[in-house]
Amino acid sequence: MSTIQSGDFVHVVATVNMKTGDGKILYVNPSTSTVQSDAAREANVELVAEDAAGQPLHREAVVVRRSSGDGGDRGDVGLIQSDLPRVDGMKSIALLFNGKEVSRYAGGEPAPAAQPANLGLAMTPESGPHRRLLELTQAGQFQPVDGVTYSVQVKPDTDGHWNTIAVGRPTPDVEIDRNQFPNATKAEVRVLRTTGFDEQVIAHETVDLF
Amino acid sequence: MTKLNNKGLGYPQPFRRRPPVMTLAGPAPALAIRGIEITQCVQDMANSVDLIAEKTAVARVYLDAATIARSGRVAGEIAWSRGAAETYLPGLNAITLDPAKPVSLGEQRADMTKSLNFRLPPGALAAGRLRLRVSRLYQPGGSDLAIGTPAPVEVTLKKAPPLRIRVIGLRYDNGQENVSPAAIHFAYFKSFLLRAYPTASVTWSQIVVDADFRAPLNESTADLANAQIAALRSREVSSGVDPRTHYFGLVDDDGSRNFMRGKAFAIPGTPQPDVVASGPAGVPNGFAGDRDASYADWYGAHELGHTFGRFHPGFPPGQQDASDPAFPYANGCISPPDGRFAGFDVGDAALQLPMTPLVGTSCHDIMTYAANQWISAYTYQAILKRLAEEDALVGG
Repeated sequence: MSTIQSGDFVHVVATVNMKTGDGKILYVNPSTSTVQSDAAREANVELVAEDAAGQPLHREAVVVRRSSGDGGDRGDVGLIQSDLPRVDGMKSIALLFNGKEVSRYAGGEPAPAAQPANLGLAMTPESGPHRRLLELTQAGQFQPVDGVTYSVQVKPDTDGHWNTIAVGRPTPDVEIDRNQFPNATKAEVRVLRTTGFDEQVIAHETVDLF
Repeated sequence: MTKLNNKGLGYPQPFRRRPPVMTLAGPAPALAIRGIEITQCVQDMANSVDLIAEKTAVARVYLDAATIARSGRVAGEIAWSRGAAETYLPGLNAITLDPAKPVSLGEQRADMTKSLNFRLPPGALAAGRLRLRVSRLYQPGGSDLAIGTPAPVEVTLKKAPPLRIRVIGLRYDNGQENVSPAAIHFAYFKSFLLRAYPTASVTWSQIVVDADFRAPLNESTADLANAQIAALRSREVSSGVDPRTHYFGLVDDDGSRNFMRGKAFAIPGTPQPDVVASGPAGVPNGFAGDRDASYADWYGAHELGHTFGRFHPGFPPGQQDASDPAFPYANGCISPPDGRFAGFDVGDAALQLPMTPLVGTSCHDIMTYAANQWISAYTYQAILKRLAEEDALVGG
């Protein structure tokens, strides 16, 4: 039976080829909700979270989900979506196949403590007829750093939830299409910097959409 | 030719020719009723498929032309009640009955013009028992006709959870420009889910974001799309979105230049609303028998069906794995060969989609790869069960 549980987790999305043993960790982000199910776990496919010294802090066999594609497709490439319990000191996650590491995500350093800045949102000159774009004008100052990704979220005044318009990006260089928020006149925009284990809001701004 | 009687003041009384009396045949001179079918999506003559409270429903009355002696037009009224006084409801249409051209019940179920159709009002669709009978049959502009059997129909409308879905349009670079799904594809998908899925309400939201892949699209694109959607879903659920919400990625086919074959992240055996899916969107131009403005609707309903635990019936053979050995109907149809089940699309005026009866032996279940897709009672009931299980994942 399935249950929805709340807590502090690290959400990991990865692929694994059950025939060749290839695999790749694609996204690592903090999360606060997970669906626990009784789906069978693959004993030979594991995620291992380690601290900075490489000591395991958590290890678990994972559910490898076969996509709905036909026959052969379903058999080989599996998708992993796991919420690992977040443990203080986690610095990296390894994907193991038959005990051998096939992919590793190493979290970067948290940003220095700082108040969320204003990144500046401005109209782009060529929005096109069906899009009215805003861009983070200072996003170009960010250089990709290993183990650091960015999410950009928008909360229009017509909606109580944050809409995620980018996740797992190496820089926060994204455009915000104002037409994606019908009837909204204003929106909060925030940029989250994550190491996969820790997260900070580095920019938070309210903008006019109309 | 209409003649006017111009005597006196006021709007003149028209002279109208009364229709010829449809003399009833047989020892019991009453117009026989073959049955009353209350349908929302798919149904049989025993009304055995669950009816969903608050979901659009149409009562179809099938008259027996063999019980009249001459042809004519017939209209009718039904009376519905819920444990109190009856309410009369006029039909949407009148039909022509001709004893010289008898039609089977199956032919009547397949043709809106061969049944009297009544769109039930909201007051009739609350959860609970509903009693319904034919209260009047008459020749438009003429006489009432005696009503034959059957007895009133009694059904129970059951509450169903909403379908919670967030659809993410994935905008990708085709090498020349960015490609994203047009609004029509979202609209068709949403409409189809409301019409074909066992729910009275779709809790829907949509947005377009940049994809983490680019053209050319291939067999692995859907895996990448699903991975991105899964990561995005986790972010949003952590930010307050209902954790029972299904997430779906919609990828435009770029005018058939970049087709992403759809996939679900998995086919879960237990309620797991965190299983995401993705599918293509485009103009069908006859794709799988579809000639309307978008195929995102039934294609998306198929991939979404996987996230509710539905497998493939295995039709057409050789083109689809038969991962659901329990699928009950031959050839992936929505009915056994005897035509027991008939589909019914209530339509969508906003998209100019008319009410349409669907022949059970020529329409195929949405979980097949065959043409002319609609949902079978088997898939309908299974998704309804899973929706209820998912709804219970959050207390209160």
